[in-house]
Amino acid sequence: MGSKKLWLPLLLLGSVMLIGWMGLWKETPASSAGKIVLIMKTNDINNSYWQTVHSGALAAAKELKVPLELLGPIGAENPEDQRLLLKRAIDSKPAAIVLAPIREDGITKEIEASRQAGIKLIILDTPLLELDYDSYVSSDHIEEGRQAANRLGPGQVRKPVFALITSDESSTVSSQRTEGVQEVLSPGKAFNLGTYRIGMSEEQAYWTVKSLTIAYPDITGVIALTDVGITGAARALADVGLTHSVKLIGFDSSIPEIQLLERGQMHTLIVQNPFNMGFLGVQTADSLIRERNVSKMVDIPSTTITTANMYEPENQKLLFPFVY
Amino acid sequence: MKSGRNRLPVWLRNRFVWVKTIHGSISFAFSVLILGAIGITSIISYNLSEDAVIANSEAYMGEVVQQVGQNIQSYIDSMENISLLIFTSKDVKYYISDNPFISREEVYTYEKNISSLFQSLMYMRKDIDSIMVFGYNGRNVSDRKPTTLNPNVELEEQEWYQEAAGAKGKSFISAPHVQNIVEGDYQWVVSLSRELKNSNSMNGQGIALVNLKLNVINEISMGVKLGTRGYVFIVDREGNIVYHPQQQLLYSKLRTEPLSRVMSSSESSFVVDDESGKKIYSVQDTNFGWKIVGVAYQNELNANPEEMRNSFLLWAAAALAVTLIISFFLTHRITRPIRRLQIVMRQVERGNFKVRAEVEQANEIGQLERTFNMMVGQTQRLMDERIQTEETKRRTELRLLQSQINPHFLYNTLDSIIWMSEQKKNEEVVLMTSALAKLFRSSIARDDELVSIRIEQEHIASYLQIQKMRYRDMLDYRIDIPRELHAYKTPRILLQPFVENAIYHGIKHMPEGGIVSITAELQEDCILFHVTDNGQGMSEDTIKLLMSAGARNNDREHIGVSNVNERIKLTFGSAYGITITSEISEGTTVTVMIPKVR
Repeated sequence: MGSKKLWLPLLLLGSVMLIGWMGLWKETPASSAGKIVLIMKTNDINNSYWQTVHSGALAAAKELKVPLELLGPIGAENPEDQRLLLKRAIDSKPAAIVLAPIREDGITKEIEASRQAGIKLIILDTPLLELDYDSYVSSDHIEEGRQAANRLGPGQVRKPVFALITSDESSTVSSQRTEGVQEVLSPGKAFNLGTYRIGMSEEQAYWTVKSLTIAYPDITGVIALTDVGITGAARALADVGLTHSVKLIGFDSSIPEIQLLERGQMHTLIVQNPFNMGFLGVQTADSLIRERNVSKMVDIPSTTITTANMYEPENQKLLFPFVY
Repeated sequence: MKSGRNRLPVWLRNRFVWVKTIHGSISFAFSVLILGAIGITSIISYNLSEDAVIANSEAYMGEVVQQVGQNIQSYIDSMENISLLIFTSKDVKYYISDNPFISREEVYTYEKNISSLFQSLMYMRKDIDSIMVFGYNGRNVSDRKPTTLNPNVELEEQEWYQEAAGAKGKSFISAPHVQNIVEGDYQWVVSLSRELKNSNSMNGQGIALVNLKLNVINEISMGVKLGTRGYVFIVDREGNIVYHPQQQLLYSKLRTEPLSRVMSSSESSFVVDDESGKKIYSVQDTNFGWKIVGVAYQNELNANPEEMRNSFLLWAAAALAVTLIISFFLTHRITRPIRRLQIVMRQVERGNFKVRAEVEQANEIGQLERTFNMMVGQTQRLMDERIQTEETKRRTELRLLQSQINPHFLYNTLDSIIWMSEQKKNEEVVLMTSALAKLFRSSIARDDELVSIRIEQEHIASYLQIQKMRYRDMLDYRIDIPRELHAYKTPRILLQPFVENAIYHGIKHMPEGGIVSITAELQEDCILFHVTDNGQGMSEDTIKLLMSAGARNNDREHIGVSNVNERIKLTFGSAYGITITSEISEGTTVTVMIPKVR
């Protein structure tokens, strides 16, 4: 009889305690999610672009308190090395993989395996055209092409006359940028002198641009998709004394390009924001793991840098990555 | 109230039935009070401890951020010292003076000397990126030899140059920036610049520039431990971010800091609550204009909030359990006498007036128990008295009954005597009259109820004699009481009712008549009388009816069988009395059992 009477108050007490606990519980954040693996195009410590991606990813991992593993081929951007890293990463069963694919073909099997394993897949930098993924975190390369093309002033009375200098037609990024350029500088709005493949030779770029200036003296712009293309073209334009009349436009920064900008030997650089890319890549992966809604494309706007604005504080950070 | 209670669902009403008892309601009240009290104190003290933890962590943060400020300050100080060293260096002064007498060779020597001075300074200070002097006379020297300035950079347009030139000898500290003054060299630095003056005229003659590697500040800031996610950032006098670990996110507006609050706030720390959680901002001023801001997530500073909460809950639960158990026993103690009294009362309710409540305490309940005992005692006494009165009344009644001679009998007997007198049967008249006289004598004999068996035998013999004379051949009788029993006592006129019954109900209706025999025997401590007839007998039901109290017909003419039985029981106890065995047309035996009394 006595024990029966004791149970009800105890039950009451238990429920009150439970409610109290629940009330206090809500303040604590959810426990850390599963591991995220980020596979870069290269883990070369001299590659400031990828090292900045690295920094951004680490900052996000710290901020979000998620375990992060950063991988990348040592040295050059080797697709086979990257494939092996990807395979090993899938075997370690992470919650998400953030991948900056060097080449889409060749990793089909691995991507499919990761999809089947239920690993969230976030693509950085270079889009996947055929294969399936969860989210793509990058600058919009077509938009970059448009940004570059807009610097040439399409649609004016004097139509721009321009040439495209590329090295590797098979690069998805290059072809998307080209697409953007051609979209803005469509026939009718500008004269396209053609796309010239110069490989990885600065010399080839120099001679190509030099002959272009001779063949088409009214040329107003050169858009080069590689840094060797830029340096070769800048040298050619300086030699023929057209540095200021021909706008030289390039993508991504390197010390030679920065110096060309300083000297005014090139007009515009379209630069991406690798820190934000690394940060948002990891953040998106984390959101996916936590089953939050994530858009298929996370755009990181690229910045248009000219001689005039290159030393503004926010642009300094983009041009001169401070890697830590 | 009552109707409200009735509206409760049945199961709930049943569940709360115990609350209706005093024990239940006191327990319930205690539990609710204790629960409330402990709950409230726990919450308050938890919050207080949490506040204390937060206050502690704010103080700790303040110290950490101050430490960061001091570290950066010491670097700035060393740069300042270097710039002062340059300021006072005669070589430098001479080198940048507009003294026209210095030859080209001499300039080269000065350059060499100054450069090696700078190099030795740099050798000592690994954190210095570069030291340079720019004379207004166009000469410049640095720790590097030769120094090729970046041709695309206008010296006079550089912020550090302009600020120093305008500061009249005071030093200027720049925000972190890329130092591009030397060709091909792009380093993230913090610059300290100062105008150099001529010792005579106090006119400005050049600018000294000391570049501190940004790595230093970065390392200091990154080395700070403010939880796992905490960080340090720096703002300058104007509220521009000087340094932030995620500066690019700030530029991209992916992240914001409450800069206006940092700049305006007079307090050294404040709390910001946004979607990423509660963050504590600790702001520290430095004497070179920068504000060092430490940011920590509150839930990380409280080293283990869950552990704290769990221990609080544990202690609260333990305290609750202990106090609830104590309250239960207390309630039990208080209500125990009441329940005991209740049990006693229930016994009284069932008719047991002999029980008494045990008075243990001198409190209200004790008083209650005493009063109850008194009441029960009185009730019992009253009951006893009533029983006694009843008994006395009954006895008197019975005595009255037994002392009377049935008027019919008397009339019949007297009629017989008259009839015999007319027949001139003198002898028989004498016999009958004397028997009647004996009968009367024994019935009015004495007041004391018990008489010797001998007298009872005489009485029953007289009676039977009269009856025998009346019924003649119809009736035979036999009395066989052993002599040794004569001395024992028996109630008066014990057997007459049975004999009377035997004659009137057993034998009278038999055409051939019957025999009534009276015997007695000693059985251990009892004396048994048997009144046997061979009459028509009776059924079990008739016996039952005869024995039952309802048969106690107070017609004042017959002394009922049950009356006799009751009388025996009243006199000797319930162990004694009469039993009847009978069989239809065989006869009846009435056995009377009384104790052996002398």
